Amino acid sequence: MQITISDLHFQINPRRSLIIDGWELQDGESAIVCGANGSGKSAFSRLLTGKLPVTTGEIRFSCPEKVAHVSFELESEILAEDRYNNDSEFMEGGVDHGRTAAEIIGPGQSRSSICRLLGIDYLLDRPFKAISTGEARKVLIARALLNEPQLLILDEPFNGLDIRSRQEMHQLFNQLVEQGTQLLLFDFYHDDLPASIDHLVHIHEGKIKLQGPRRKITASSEWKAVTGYQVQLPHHLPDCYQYEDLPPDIPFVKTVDLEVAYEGKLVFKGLNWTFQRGEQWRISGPNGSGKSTLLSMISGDNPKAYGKDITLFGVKRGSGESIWDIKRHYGLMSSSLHRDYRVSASVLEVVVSGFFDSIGLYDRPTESQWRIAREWLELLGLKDRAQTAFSILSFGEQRQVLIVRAMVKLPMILLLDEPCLGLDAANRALVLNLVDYIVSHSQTHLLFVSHDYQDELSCLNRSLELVPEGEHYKAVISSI
Amino acid sequence: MNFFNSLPLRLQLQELGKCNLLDPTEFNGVDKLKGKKIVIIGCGAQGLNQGLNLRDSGLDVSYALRADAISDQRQSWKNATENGFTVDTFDKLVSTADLVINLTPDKQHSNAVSQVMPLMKDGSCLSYSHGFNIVEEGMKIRDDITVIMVAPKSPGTEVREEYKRGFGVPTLIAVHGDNDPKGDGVEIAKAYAVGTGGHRAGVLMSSFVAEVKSDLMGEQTILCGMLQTGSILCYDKMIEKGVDSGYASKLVQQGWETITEALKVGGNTNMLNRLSNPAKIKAFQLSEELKEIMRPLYEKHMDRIITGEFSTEMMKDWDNEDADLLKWREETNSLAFEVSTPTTDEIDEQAFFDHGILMIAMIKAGVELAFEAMTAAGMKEESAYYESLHEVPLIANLIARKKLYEMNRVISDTAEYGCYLFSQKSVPLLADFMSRMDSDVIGKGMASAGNGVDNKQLDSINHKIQNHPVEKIGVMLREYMNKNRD
Repeated sequence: MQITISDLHFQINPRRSLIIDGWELQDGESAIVCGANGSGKSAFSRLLTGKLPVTTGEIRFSCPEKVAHVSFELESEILAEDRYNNDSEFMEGGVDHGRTAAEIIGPGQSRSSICRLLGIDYLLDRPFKAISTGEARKVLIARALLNEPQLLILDEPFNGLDIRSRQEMHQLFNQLVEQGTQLLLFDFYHDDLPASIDHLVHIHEGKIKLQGPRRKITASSEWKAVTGYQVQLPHHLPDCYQYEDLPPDIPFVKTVDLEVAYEGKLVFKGLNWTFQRGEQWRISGPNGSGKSTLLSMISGDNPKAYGKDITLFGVKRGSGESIWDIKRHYGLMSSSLHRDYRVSASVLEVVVSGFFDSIGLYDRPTESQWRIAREWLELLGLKDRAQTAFSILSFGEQRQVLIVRAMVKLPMILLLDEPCLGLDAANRALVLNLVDYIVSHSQTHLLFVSHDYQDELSCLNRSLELVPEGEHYKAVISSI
Repeated sequence: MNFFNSLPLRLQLQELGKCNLLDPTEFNGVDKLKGKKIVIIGCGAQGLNQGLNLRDSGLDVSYALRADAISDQRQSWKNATENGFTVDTFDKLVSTADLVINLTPDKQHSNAVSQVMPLMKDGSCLSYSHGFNIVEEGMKIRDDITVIMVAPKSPGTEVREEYKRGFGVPTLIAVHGDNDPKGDGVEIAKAYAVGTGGHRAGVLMSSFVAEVKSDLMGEQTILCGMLQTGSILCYDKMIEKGVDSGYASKLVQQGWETITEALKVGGNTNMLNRLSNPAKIKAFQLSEELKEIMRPLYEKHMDRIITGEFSTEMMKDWDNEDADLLKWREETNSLAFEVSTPTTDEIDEQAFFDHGILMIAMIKAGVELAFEAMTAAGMKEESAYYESLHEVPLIANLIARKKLYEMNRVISDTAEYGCYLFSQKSVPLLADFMSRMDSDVIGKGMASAGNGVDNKQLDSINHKIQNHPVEKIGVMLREYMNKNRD
């Protein structure tokens, strides 16, 4: 499969275009395409996969029917189709679970062997919308492989995967390359991207700046020039939103012998956890261990919290409090929030919605809330995007905005579930440094989930790790 | 028997004319229901999702299911249990309830309420989401029980989604005047609406009578009846004029949804603004013609609903094991449109408008006729808007996904029965009109001879479209509902 691009000119936003005068991917060749947030990398992959229309110039595949792709956008589309076809209103019990993983993958002779290869046989009958991030990724890869593509375009395929799944995915990709499938992998550059792909293409400010063998490119002085960054921390934080103070001796969170099961299948049990003032927690565990479930149990988002022994901010769960009483203590950022943030609003409105814990803006913000929101956008270097529609931002940019939304009220607890997904090295460093800064310069406490060993935070002092115990998980609590 | 018919004219008029939008300052949170026991009967999409919202608002919610639903671990039992709710039998739960929320399907109301009422404790409250049982079937509720209605104007999943966002869906509330022994029915209904998030998107204070009469009218005419009629006629016309059957099939099936998306956002005005100037003038003229032809039919449906003839006839069919309903349903299955196969080719979003001028005219005519018939019968514009224009996109969506047979099967039996009555009359009624139509208004679009039109004519038409009362009330109600939406 050969890709030929000529005279491509695409206006991404008023300030940035992607311009590729001439580029080819040779038959049999695989490549990594990298670039920072806002470089045009996402637009490039969306143009290749037909998610954006080619307005000027041409992209030609020698064999277009043999191209497949996997991306966050594809996952969103599938979930949107399920929402569109939702028949809850007409079903006994009122819940339409949507298509199963098997239905998403589709029928095909090679399905069972592909699923075995990816180790996903066990989840074929489960609803696609209910499986974890990593599992969903594998399902989409299986779906792509079903038609035996010659070229597989992968947009940030490692997002949200734990170390083990990531390694498995590397092996799989190496294996595919060996068997002759071409991969075009869009990601931020890491040394540990699959070793079998040697050709590196670097997009910088809308143009292909560098390309060639990985080792050679990454050793060059130009590479250092385009990928280097410095983190600028603020001199001060924007004003703090006022919330009622909690007596100091009352823990934020207390769970007693907590267990969670889905349809009778135990996820974790025996979880005794107290989160007190002065503690900054890291929550870790492999994909499917129940981290996100645990966080949703204490954030007011999970109906399973009722009837459990959970005390939040001094109030026993299910004793007459509303979820909005709980949510006002948190500034939350997670993949599920991102997935649910589907309303039309400007970037600034999305940030301000953080004051109200709402998805979309339904209250009238005060002048000072608007001002504080603008100051936060400036801190993250997003000031000039304030009036842009949130929905047209790239994956990584949307994530950045939602992080600002979580921080905007300097909440009692900043709850960040994999906040750095989709962020380039510079933005990642900025966010992590800012989190450390917030914790040391305000009353804000931290709950932090990350799979990525690179996401180091010096403020963390306590750890809750979910580790396998038989068929389910248990919590191991320690100091850092 | 029929509650409405038992009222003196003075009260009939009063009840029909009830519907006003409550101001946000008129709500006092969920205080009225704090610490009270709420028991929901019926764990379908409305039951489950309303329950989740009420509990998330700090209220005490449990589900009463039939004993066999529990012992067989049916889907309703599973869903309630999986979400951490207490689930038990009617006997166990209903006697403890301060508020019993009846969210069973409309047709089961008589049965469910008769079963529940003897178990309810003295001075408790019973809530409905549709008043057919009270108004048309004339169900008498024990004197000590307060009877209210809280009806979110959206599917259950949306009721939940909007709540989780921090918003809600527009909701209609009412109190049954015969059953308000303590005079606090309104307060209970308001607190319930707050608990589901409805107060954020606009709550309409209406009456059982106004809700039932307007709901019946909307569903059988503009909603299901008009879309069914339009689907049959537009498809057949295209085939007659040589339009490719796959294209015709898709244009009709998906077209209703695409054009009513524009209706949902900005009313008839916006829907017609999607057309070129000459096409808009054409659509307007067609809609005027359609209104003239169909007005007597709309009025007849309204009259039969007001007198109760419609429900009497339908309930006879209920007693006859739905013989007519099922027969008519099967007839739908053999319609040419129903058995057609839509093309897999994409149709451009704008093409649905440009090639669907007649469909647009039908929607506009139907919305205005239903609205006018309701307001002429004494209903408030707010009621008429919600039961006409507001719900068209929901039915259009069902047709887009399921075509006519399935659409009819999943809507309420009341809507389905009325839909057949309407389309059986309207299809022949429009035969002469349709014989004058060609593929320029349905299927192929108008030959482009430029966008030029007579200014004065266009201005006058724009004025007429925008100044129809359904448009004026629509602008206000949508502002309430949409806030930050597109």
